[in-house]
Amino acid sequence: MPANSVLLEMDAHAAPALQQAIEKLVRGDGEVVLDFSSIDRIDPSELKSMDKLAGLAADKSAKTVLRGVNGRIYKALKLANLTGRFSFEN
Amino acid sequence: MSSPGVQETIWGERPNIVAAFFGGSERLVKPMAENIASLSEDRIAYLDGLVSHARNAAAVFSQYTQEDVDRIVKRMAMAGMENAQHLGRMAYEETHLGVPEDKAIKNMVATEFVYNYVRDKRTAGVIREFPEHGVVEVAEPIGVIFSLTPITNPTSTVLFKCLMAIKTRNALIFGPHPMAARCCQEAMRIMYETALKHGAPEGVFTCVESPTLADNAYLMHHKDVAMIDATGGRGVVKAAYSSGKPALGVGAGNTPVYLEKSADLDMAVVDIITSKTFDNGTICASEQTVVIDDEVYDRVLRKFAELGAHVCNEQEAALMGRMLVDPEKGMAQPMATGQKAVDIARFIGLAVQPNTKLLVAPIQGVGRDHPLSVEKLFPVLAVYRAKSMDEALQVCVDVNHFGGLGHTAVVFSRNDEVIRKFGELINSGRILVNSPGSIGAIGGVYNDMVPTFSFGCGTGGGNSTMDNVNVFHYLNVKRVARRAQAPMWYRVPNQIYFNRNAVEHLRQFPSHSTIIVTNPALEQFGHAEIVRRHLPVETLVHVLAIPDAEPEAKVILEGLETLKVYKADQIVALGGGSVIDAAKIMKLMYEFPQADLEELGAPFLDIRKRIVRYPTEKAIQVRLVAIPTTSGTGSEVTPFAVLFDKEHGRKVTLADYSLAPDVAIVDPQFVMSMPKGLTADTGIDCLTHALEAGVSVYASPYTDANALQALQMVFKYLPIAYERPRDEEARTMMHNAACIAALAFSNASVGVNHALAHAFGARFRVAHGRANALLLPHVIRYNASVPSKFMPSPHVRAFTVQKKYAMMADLLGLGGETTEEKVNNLIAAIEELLDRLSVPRSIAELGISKEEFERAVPDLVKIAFEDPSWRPTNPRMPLMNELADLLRAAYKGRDVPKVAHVPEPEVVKDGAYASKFSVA
Repeated sequence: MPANSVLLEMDAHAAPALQQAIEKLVRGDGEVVLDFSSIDRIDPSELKSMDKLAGLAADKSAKTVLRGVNGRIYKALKLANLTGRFSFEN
Repeated sequence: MSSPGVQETIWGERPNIVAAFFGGSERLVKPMAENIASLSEDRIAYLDGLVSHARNAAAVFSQYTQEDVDRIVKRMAMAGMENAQHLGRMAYEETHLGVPEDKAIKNMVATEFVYNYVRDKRTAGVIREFPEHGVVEVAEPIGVIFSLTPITNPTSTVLFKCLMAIKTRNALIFGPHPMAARCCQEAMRIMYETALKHGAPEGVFTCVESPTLADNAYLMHHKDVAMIDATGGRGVVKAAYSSGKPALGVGAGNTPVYLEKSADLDMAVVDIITSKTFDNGTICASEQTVVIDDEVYDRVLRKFAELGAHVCNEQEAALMGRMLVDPEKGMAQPMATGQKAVDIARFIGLAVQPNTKLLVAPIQGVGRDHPLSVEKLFPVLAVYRAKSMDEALQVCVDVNHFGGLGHTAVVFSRNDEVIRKFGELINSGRILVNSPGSIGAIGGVYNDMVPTFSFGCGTGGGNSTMDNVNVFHYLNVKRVARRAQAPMWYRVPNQIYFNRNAVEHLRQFPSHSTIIVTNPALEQFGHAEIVRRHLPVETLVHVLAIPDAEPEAKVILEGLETLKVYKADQIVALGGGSVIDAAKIMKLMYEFPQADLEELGAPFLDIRKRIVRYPTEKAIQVRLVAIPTTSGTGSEVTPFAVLFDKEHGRKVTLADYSLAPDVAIVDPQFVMSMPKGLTADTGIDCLTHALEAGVSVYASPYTDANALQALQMVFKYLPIAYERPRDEEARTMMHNAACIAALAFSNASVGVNHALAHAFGARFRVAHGRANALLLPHVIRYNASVPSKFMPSPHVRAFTVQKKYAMMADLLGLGGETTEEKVNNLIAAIEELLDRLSVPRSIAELGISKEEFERAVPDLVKIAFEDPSWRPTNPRMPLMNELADLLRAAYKGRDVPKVAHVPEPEVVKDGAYASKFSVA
């Protein structure tokens, strides 16, 4: 993980971590790594936040990495046309 | 209805909403692009937003489990039931169509009945398993569905589609009929809020506000809309299908009813009235024309009248036709849709009783000249008096083809034959027997059909389905199919007697009349007499000597005649492969006179799945005892017979286990005097059988036991039998080896060596074993090399053929360290054996010129490719050019290039035989 990366681990509720990630990107804090390991599924508002996050990352030219995304969430992101806007790590 | 002024006066302030619907539908189709172009940027952004929401909801929804959706669907169904009356009333007040009470009932059916049907259906994750076939079906949601709903059944259709969408994890965007938008939005709101409350994703249902044709056109073409579900008129359906999207489009009908004289008339009349007046006839499955048998016509009309229908006279019927059907469009006037019978009567100036519930109008034909034969979504029913059943059925077919194809039809009868005929003649997705059309077609009430509010009308109605649409139309069903381990077999004759004097066993087979089929030389040599001596004394024996060559049809027919003349109950085939093959075919024709040899010789890919079936109903039973007089073909136990097609100069291979002899007697006394050349040729044939069966795709532990045993016996005893023909042990062992190798290839088959040898041997009249010898070293090298194409067969689990040849080399003690060394040693050993047997080692040595050979190659390749010997058993799939290369290599003869190294497969320990072989 690069030195300027920020690792955000999500618990059962992804929304606070996503909000935190958005704030970090707004501040220009560099790469964000979101750890989905403990997340089983995402809801529409989280999906919306991720869309926003992807947009911000693109604006700031900052990389956003999703770590430990399970198959179901990956497919949901794929169906929402979001997978191409993130990097994935397992 | 030609004067708008009259309409307003008669119908009060009711807007011309149905006309808007029908007209709108047609407009939707024509200027689709034009419609889209008329949308403002704001409107497009609004519609894009709806789709985006729905897409995200569908994406999130894809994560849900069966338990998740079932929990939500149950609550939605309960909410639908609780609001059924409220929504029915609202639908009526907005549309002014139908009957509020009936609409409430429809809403209940759309929730309770539909829920009852779907509650236990699996629609998420694994939905069905077929362990016996290794197939699992898995549901894949569709995504975003754009759903158009009709004015006639607005809220019930919305409730129904909401339940289906949640059950299948799809998101819906509703495009309601503009004149039923409020009630549809309310129905959707109730469903949506309930769904959300119980865990459905936000945005799973949306509804276009103030929908326009342009909105519909735009959404139908939106890239993120996965499917269109259009329930409505023909225009809407056509627009959906024209969009290029996958679509469920189900629409209009024209229901014929045959009221046959044997029917329960009271039930029929009540059912028809119930159905045709339900929601004032707005359900498109409702009865339109009732065709009544002459014998009961008057009684039926009386019963209609007694139960509240007004039966029109000729003038009244003509008046209705003029007033209620648009003569230009040939369609019912939309203003009448869903109206009460008394209001319609008042409108057209017809005097009826105030409690009249149905207007019954006699018609004399079907089509544009008979206006009332069209679909009428209001309580007007056409009736036709039929003089006979044939006429009745013809009129029903006419109605069916006059706008009703694929939809619904009804027959009232107690006569099963009438019902069967009606079912065969009428093209309808729902053919209802002794039950009402509208409520019957919905399913789940009067029958066990799938409950629905969308009737698929098949191709006749321009639809993609003829089903009652339900959850399975809202799903992609994925099939996870496991590799099948195809069942194999090992079939051999149940009686094989072997070793010297085995012929004595003939005595145990009782027979009144036995035909000994042999060739003239064997008869002269006294072999036939030996056989005769060993038959029971009471047996009448006739010897039939046939030419010693692959049998032609003429020989078979002559033999068949002999069998018939002597009323044979036993055939003893005494000879080489040709004689035994001839006897097999004679037996086939004798037992199955209907057998068509040309058809039975048709090519096939897999014997278990071939097109032609061999007959099984025997006209007569005959026992076939095969006594081979050569040690090679193994025909005494095989299910094959080769017929020579003289006309086309080719061999036709017949293959079926019914051809296999009943008894094989492998007695070496009949081969002791076999000439050296024949010993060599037939011995090589036996060797080829063992080698090809050993590496066959169909090889199994059963066949390998035979193939490997035979291989060892051939290597040990063939040179001795060839060099010392009177050596009884060698002759015995070679005779047994031939039979044992045949047991292997009877079940595992052979390969390209045989296919090429058949083609080449027939063309140049070269003995079969000799032709095999010319090809054998080249074919082994070819099979042992990495294929340009693998044989597509579930039996092939790894490229093990090189290992298998190497194992054969090990068994023969040929030495070698690596696999390829062992294979090369096997080839060398075979070449050495062939040299010892003094057989020609190249086609050139046979005196065939290069030019003549090359001229023949294209034909030989074609014939070999068609030969059933290699399909699908050769360990690699031969290409045409590869077959030509093999023939050319055989022309040249020696100098077989060395087999190159092939990486060895890992040992598979899960029971896969082909891979396990290497650890044997």
